[in-house]
Amino acid sequence: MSKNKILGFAVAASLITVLIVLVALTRSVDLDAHNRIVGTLREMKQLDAEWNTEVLRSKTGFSENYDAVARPLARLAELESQLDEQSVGLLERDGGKAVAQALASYRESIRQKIDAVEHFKSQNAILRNSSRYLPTAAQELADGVVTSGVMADAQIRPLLGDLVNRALSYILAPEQSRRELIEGGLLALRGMPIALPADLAEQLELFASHVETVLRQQDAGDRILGELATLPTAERIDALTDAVAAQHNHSLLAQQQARQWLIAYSVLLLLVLAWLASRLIGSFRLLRRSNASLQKAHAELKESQVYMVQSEKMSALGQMVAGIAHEINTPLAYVKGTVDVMHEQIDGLTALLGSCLRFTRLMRDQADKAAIREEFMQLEALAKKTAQDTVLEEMDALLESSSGGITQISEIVVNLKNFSRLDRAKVSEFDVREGLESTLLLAKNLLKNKVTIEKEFDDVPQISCSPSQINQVFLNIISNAAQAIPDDRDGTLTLRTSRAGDDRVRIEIQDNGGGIPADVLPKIFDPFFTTKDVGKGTGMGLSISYKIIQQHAGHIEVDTEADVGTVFTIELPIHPPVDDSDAAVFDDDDMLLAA
Amino acid sequence: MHTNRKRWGGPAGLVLGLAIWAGGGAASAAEPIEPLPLRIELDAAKVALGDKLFHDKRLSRDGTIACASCHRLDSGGVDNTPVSTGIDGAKGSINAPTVLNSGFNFRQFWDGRARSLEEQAAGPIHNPIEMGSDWQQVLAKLRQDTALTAQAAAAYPQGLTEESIVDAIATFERSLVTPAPFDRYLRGDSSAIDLSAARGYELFKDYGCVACHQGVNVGGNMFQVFGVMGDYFAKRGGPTEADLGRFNVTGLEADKHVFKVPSLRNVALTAPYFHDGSAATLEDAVDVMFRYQLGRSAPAEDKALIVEFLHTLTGDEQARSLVATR
Repeated sequence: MSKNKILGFAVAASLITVLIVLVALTRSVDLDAHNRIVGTLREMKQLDAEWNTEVLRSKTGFSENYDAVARPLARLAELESQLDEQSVGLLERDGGKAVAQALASYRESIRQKIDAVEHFKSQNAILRNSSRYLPTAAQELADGVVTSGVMADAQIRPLLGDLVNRALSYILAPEQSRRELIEGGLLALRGMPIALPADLAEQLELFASHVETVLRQQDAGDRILGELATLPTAERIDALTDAVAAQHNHSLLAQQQARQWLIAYSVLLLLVLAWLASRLIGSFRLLRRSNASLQKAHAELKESQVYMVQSEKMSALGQMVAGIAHEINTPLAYVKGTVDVMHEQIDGLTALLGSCLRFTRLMRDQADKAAIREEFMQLEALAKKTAQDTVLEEMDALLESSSGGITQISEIVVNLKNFSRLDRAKVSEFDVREGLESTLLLAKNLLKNKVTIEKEFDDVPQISCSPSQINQVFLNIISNAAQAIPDDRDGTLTLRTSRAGDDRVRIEIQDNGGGIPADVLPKIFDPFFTTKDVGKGTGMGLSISYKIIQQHAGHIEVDTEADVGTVFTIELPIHPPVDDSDAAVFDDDDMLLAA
Repeated sequence: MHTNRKRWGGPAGLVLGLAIWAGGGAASAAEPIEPLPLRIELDAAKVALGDKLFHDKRLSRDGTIACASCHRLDSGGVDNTPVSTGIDGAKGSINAPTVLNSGFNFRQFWDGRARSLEEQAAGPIHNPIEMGSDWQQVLAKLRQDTALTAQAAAAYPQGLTEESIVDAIATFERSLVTPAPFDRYLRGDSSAIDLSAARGYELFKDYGCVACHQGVNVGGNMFQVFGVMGDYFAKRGGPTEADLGRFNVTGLEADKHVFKVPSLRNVALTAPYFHDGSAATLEDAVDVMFRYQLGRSAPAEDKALIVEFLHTLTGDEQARSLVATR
């Protein structure tokens, strides 16, 4: 991966991370959770108030038992653990400290309240029992004392009655003065200067202790109820609610801020994206423009390539026509000569024939002997002259010679046909040696008087190919080779055929010319590359050859050395792989041209 | 009493949602004692699992003690000894309270240190002289029991864990509800208890017992000082740490010798009495209460009537069906 790519990824990743963080921040406030906490707190406050009511109901005796006072404890515990669960998230956030403090002080106050309520229940039970029992106890004590005869009814009953009344009033209105009166009464009771029997003394002490219990428990009850009244559980719940609300507002504010940031960031991102998109569209346009111009250039190139190939063909054809014309001209000339000579001979034979006819007419007409004799002498002289001149033998020889010339011409025509194979299927079995021979014949004109041909043909199997195309390659290379050999040198062109592995045939065409310069070598297969003067070569020859070999699934190599020569090595498969594209390769010249 | 095991045990008994008390008038609002509810809804699978665990000795370190070892369901939910015997024969420090109707107690333990049955269940398991184990040990042992693990997985999404074990045990304990003749009496069936017991109830109220023993569980909803009208502990002697009661939990001077007022349901079955198991009989216990709590004396016949009343708080045998499944 390139440095730029890594940088791009890093930038994209960090942009996305920022986006995710911002989105998360805008969702950080869980309204449901907040509502749940608020609901819990509301229920706690309500429970607290109800609890207060239940305590008062017990105090005033409206409730016969403490189930209603004890019941809120379980719900309270549930609500507390519920609140603990719900507030876990709150404590971690900003303002969590305030919430935690409010929670802690609430807990402290509710713990105190629970203890106070428990103490209230205990003291209230005792107070109620003792206060209920006091009149009975006083009655029993008075009865006992009077029955025992220790004291008179009037002595003891008012004392006990006062104590009971004052003690019961003290429950309703615990005033200090009344308390002092009761304590005074107890002192008087205990300090009575009369000796009581043991059981009565015990009973008296029990009564006194119940009175004391009433005082003690009433004071304790007052204290506890005072404590309960001042215990700020409701206020603490309110404070906790406020702390939660404050934190919630804070979170909402933070969320709002995050949302604004998110919007700004999104706008920024959109702008960046728009910029990138516009750049992309720009580059796309540029690409399309250059693509269009490239396509146009390609079309033009293809057109000119068609021309070039055509002109290459014409040029090759021109060379061939010159060679062929020359080849045909020679036999044609002496055929013409012999025909001319025979034409001259015809006059003598015509005279002989005329003399024969006249003589035979004279004989049939039974003319005079002198005329017959004269005519006979003339015929004899003509026949003798014809025989002497060996005219017929000469004509025979001339005809034979013309026939030879004509055969020679027809051979050339056959070779021409072989070369182009125009009359044959495009793909056929082909012996590369025959191809080379045909090509040599056609290129004879180029090679004549200049180049010695050496053939080192191994026995090679026929290959499946397009013979006319392969011949075109041979002709290209051979004519290049002929041209590469300087005029002042005895050129040698060596043609070799051999097997290359099991399934390929190798053809080597070697010249001893000047070699290909190093700066030219890489370009020789390029289209339109030529070292010849303008107009003399199209620069397409080797490029087309390369294409043809490639399309035959073969390959072509060049090995060259300055002043030593060049060898072109062509390898062709015996059975080229058959598939649609390869089948199409041999289709026709148009394919080749289009390639 | 072995046959009675059945009535507490199998979930089959719990599946029936039928109320045992179809009739009955409205409970008098003025009565300080309220009848048990006619119906309690609990998850049958959890109750069944809790039942198994309640009787499972693997909860103790040496595999000798189950919850049911001390809270014997066939004898009033207690072991009828002053203090229970834990693993290795160790003697406990306090009398085992009954597990029956414990779901109606506002706090658990004599000193009320557990706010719920769930909280309570973990206590004895960890107490070194009771079961002497810990969760790691217990879970390791129980998880080898594939049947139990499967049963727990069926009852709880999280399967067998500390939470599910205490929840199952607590749920089972909530199913241990024992409606008694007195409940029917409260609902208006005056023939449910005999006249002397009814008279005993009136005395129970008149003498002030009901000041503390009130509510649906006849106690179990408040704390009270043991020895309101006299120093019980000085008289008894041999003070123990357990005697300090709720002081051990709150550290408040006012909570010294303060205990949870125990439920009197099934009290006839749960001798001996008090946190120290000092009262061998119900009569002894009533005497102590009169002496130290009420600070008064009463004729023996009144006390006997009160004891008769207390016997009507003993649960009916057929009563377990009031637990409905949910």
